[in-house]
Amino acid sequence: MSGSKEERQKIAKEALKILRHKEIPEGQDPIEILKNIEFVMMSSIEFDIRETTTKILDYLDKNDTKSALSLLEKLKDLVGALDWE
Amino acid sequence: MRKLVIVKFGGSVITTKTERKAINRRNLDLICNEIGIAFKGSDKNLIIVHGGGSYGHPLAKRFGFRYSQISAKENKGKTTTRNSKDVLRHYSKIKTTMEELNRKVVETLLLHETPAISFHPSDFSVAYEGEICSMFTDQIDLCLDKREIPVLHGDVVKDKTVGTVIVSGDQILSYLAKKYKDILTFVIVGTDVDGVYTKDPKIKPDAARLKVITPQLINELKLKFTTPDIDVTGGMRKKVETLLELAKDGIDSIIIDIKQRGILSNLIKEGLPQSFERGTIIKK
Repeated sequence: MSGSKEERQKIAKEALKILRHKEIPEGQDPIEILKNIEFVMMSSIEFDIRETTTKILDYLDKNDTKSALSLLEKLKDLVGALDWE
Repeated sequence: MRKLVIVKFGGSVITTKTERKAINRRNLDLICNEIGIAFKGSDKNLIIVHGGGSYGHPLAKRFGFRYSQISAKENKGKTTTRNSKDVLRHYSKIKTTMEELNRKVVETLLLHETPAISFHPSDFSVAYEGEICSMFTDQIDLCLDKREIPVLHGDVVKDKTVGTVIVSGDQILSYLAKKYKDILTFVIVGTDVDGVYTKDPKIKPDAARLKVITPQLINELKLKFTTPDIDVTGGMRKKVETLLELAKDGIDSIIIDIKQRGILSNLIKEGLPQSFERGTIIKK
C-alpha cells in the first residue's frame, strides 16, 4: 500500500514521538530527523529498537506505509520495555 | 561499616523476550552463582537491583499504564479517565507480578548460599513527577549491618503528582547509590551487551564500544544529549545520563555483559579496574 508524503511524514513523526525525541522544529522533515538519530546501545532491547526504526525507514522509503504503520506498535513495545530495565 | 557494591541487572537479561512471565533460567542461575562466589570471596556488602523484563512491561502495556519517568512530567496535574477501581486493580496486579519475579531471583540467590532478602520498592517508596523522592531505607541499613543482601526491583510506585508511575531498576539504582555514597565503592550495571555503543556495530563499520565514558568525553564525541542536531532518543539516553550523574557525584560505574562467566564475581572481589576490555567504565 502506498501513501502520500504527508502520510509518510506522519508515521515518522509518530515514531519519533514513541522514541521520546525532542520536539520537531517547524519546517523540518521528520523522516530526515528519524534517519539521523543516533542510538545509545547498551542492551539487546536497544539493538532491537534500532533495527525496528531502520525497518520503518525502509518501508517509508519504499512508500509502504501499511508495513511501516504495523511496526509502530512493536517500536512502542520495545521503548516501553526500557522503562522497566 | 563494610564497603558496598551495588549490582543492577536488566529484566531483559533474566527473563525471555518472547514469552510473558518466563524466566531465563540459565542467565539467572549464572548471575546468582557469580554473586554467591563473590560474596563468599570478599568482605563487601552487596545490594542487588533487577528490572522487570517480561514480567512488568507486558502487564503495564495491557492495562495502558502510561506513566513512566519520562511521561510523568508531561502528565502532571492530569487525572485519569479510567475508573479508580481499575487503576487500583492494575496497580496491584503489576505489583504482585513484579513480586513474583523478585521472589524467583531471591530464591535462586538463596540456592547459591547468599543471604538474600526481598524488598519491594512499592511498599516503602514515594515518587514525585516520576522520580523517587523518598524511600524508607532503615530496614536496608539493618540488613547491611548483618551483611545480608537486599534485593530490590523495578516497580510501580505511588506518585504525588500523577498517581502511580513505573520506576525502573536504573532509577532505584541511582537513588540507592546516592543514599549510600559514603560506603559505596562502585556500581555494576549488568546487561546483555559488553558495554556502550554509540552506533550499531552490526551496520556501522566505524562503530566502537566505548571503554570509558566521562562527562568530558561525551562532549568531545558530540553526543549532545540535550538540544542537538543529532539526537539520542529519550528512553536510551536516560540510562547513560543516570550513570553520568552518578559519576559527577564521584560514584563510578561499569557496564558489563553479565552473561559472561567470571566477570561479575571478579569485579566484586577485585574492585573497579582502571581500564577494562570487556565493558564500559563511567567515571568523572
